[in-house]
Amino acid sequence: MDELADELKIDPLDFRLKNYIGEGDLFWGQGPTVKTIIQSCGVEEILTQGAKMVNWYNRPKPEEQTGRFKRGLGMGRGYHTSSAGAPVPGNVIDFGGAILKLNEDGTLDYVTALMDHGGGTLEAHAKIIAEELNVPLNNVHIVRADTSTTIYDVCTHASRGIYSGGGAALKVATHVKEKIRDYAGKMLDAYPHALHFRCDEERGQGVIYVVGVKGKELTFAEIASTARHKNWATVASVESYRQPSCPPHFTGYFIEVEVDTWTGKVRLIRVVAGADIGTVINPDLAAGQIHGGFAMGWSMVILEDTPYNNVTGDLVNCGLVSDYKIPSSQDLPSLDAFTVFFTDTYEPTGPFGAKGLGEGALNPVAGAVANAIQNALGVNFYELPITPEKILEALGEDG
Amino acid sequence: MDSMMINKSDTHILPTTFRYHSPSSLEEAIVLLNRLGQNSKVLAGGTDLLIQMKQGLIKPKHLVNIKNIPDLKGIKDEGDGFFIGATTKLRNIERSKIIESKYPILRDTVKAMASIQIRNMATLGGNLCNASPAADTSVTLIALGAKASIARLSEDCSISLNEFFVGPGETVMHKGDLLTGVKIPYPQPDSGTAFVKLGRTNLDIATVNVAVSFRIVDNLIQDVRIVVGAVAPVPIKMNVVEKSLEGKIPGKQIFEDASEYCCDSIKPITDIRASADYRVKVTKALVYDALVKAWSRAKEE
Repeated sequence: MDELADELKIDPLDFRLKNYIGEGDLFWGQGPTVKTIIQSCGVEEILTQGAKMVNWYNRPKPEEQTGRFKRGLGMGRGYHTSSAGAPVPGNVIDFGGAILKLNEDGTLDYVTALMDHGGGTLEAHAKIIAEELNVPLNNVHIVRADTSTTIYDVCTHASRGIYSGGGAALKVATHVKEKIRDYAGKMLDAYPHALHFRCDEERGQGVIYVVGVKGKELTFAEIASTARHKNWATVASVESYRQPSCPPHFTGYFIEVEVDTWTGKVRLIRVVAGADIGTVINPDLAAGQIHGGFAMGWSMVILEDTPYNNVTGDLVNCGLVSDYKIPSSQDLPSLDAFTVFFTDTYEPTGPFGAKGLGEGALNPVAGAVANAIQNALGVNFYELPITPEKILEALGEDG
Repeated sequence: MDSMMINKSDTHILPTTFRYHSPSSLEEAIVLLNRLGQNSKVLAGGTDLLIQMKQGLIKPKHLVNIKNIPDLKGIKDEGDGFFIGATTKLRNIERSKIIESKYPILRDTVKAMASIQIRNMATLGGNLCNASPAADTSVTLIALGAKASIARLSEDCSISLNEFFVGPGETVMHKGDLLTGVKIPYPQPDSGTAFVKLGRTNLDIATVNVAVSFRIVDNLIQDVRIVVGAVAPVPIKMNVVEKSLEGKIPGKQIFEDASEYCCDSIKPITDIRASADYRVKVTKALVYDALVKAWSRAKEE
């Protein structure tokens, strides 16, 4: 993109603003049956706000830099489908499954096959359920699960944990909610559709009540206990759910680096990352996922390599991780030099407006770093990783 | 189990059987090592040895743990310098107040090695006796003029660390000898020292490492030592370059010239960490950075 912009004598950021697929456009999430019309898009906000934060239009020019250390600011834009949901069956399998049970003390047990990889996915599901049912977050227990105790879910991948898995969590919560409503209507002698829900923080309970009629009120605990004593049923539901859409989430990275032209080492100065993930359910953990995506992207562009011996054909590192380098916390910027912001967007098909994030957090990093190095040195690299050796070689050819 | 079945390149299992010995005195250890001979290996921190065993690179029949020998542990003032025992953990050197005030370069060196977890295990003697061309403590201790103290059956001896290394994994020590520690002379007044290392990541073994030490007396450079690691089978002391700096007025240009001069004197190899060509190029940067850093430290003195 930067090279195209350069050819056209347009600023690379402006060039991106003129050329992206956004709201109302058709988006191919994954093959011909997994596509959608984009209903939420924060690309413009990511690009303009990020540009302001890094003072984009005053970035250094490679030809104006002298001395051993050269600085560069580059950007890259990314996106990825959130799940492989679709309005028609097709041949891609992507659906979630959830079990939710209301206990006699008003707490809920939530069972899903979807796993938390450290991104806080299951806490987000608990939040979705708590929000829908008007119960304190602590009342939603996430049950340790395995294949034999869960129903089918394609699990945590494809940036689908919150959007698709969370969609199933929301669906099962709405079904339990309707059951609570029906039982409460019976118990309170009221029309179910006239009942309202609220969270009673003092009692630590979800409460269902009739507006304006004193005493017509029940806690979730009372409903679940009664349903048991009267031999009605467990207040529970099992639901499978496929999202009807595959909305892309959007990301943008602005990365500043310093290149030591004597050693070829690239040092990170700062990172500004913007993301459109619709409603942000866990802001700190979502930012953490961007830090993680960045770290893996940085690893890919600067370090990770699997060279082979030209003569024997053996993998040079013999399969040992000690010679397959990835960055540690010491190789990454301090938290003060890493800013994450989220756009003000809402995805109509997502649980409470949420989209995915996982893959979008990684995708643009390599390009953004390469563009930053280009901005520092005036050299384009077309092969990853961009090692110190390749940088010195390129500088040698140049000078 | 069929030994061919063992994955020797990537395993947590030690694919050989061995006997474990743990002498509690130096005398006992020396007698034992001489009796066991070729089939024995000394175990200190184990951060190199056990990995080599796991990879099947070495198959000792006997391991002699020397960590229970009290004389080999700790840092002692001996009146003309400091003695650091061979089984002193790198982490203890890093946290030593003596090292911090007397030999800041050694603290920098140890801090730049691996991770805290590994430094909690690894020993100074182990790093030296493993004799990796890329070892970090080697270059620094040579730059500090340290001597290796070797215990042997006949007579104990002491040898300049600059003559201690013979090749990758090889030292002047014979089978049955034991490195008891290193002796570092007191730091001289007006001296500046610096260690600089380049690796792929901060936890990495050095692609190239450099240690320098010199004094500034009447604004003239004296007693220069420049040692470069990972560019030859053993750490290289740049005698000719050192001489070229003696008596000169310190300055950026003179240091840049000296660092270029160093590049002309090395013949590194290509390995997974870097090509020979790259090592030559970055040696210049590292020597220069080390000289400038040492200069600023000498000025602080």
